[in-house]
Amino acid sequence: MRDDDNDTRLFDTLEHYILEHYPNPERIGCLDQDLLRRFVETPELLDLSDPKYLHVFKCAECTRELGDLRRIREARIQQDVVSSPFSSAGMKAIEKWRRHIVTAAFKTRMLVRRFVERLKSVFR
Amino acid sequence: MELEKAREAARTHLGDEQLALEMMELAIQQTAEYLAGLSPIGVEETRLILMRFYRNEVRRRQRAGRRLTYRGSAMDVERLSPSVDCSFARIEADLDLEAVLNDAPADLRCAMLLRYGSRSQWGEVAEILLKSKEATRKLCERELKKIRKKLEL
Repeated sequence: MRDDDNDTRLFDTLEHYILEHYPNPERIGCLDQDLLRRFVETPELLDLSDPKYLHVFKCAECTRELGDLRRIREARIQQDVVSSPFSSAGMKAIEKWRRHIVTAAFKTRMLVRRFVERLKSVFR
Repeated sequence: MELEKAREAARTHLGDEQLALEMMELAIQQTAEYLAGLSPIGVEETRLILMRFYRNEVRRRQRAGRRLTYRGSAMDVERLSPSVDCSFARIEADLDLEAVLNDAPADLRCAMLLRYGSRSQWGEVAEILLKSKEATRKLCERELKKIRKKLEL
């Protein structure tokens, strides 16, 4: 069975593999609930280059929680679509613009950080 | 005479001759119980039985002293040695993405985490990393191939 452009099947299988092979009932080294929620809702605002986030690739419990949070996110988006006075197309557009704004804020932060690092290297 | 031998045995085998009296009292009690139901016997035979019980007690204490004892609670043991089931599962896992990505460039780590954790599409990942979708995909291609191979996809 071929995979789609987003390698969905690969990542679903990877998730299943981690759930099966990396139990962590004592939650050793786990990320806290708030961080996991932000990982799902606004990942662009986190510094994912920090090695601590790699923990999710070796923890069934964190992976399970991420899955639950994603389902909550999808359910909330669906609920907003149903209950909103806007049409579903309108809601999708709002969501799209929200992500654009958040991404733009992140990009600005990245650009400023790179600029500061260049300045530091010049004046070192 | 028996008491002297008893003290010597306690000193030699247990390192403490003070224990001799205690063990001798116990041996006397056991001898009395042993002889209670039997027909009367002579002094010599009684001495032999008494010393036999005494030597048994010395050996018993010697064996007890050799055993390792843990002074703590079950919680301590659990903390020191985590559940065996978890260890077995982790040992059997031969795909260790944390180790693979630990030395990888920061952008690659971000891309894989975004795709895996929040299930952002490659296009969204590309936007966040300020790259094109093709460049982002190419960045992760080698790792994705490794994962496919390990997962037999």
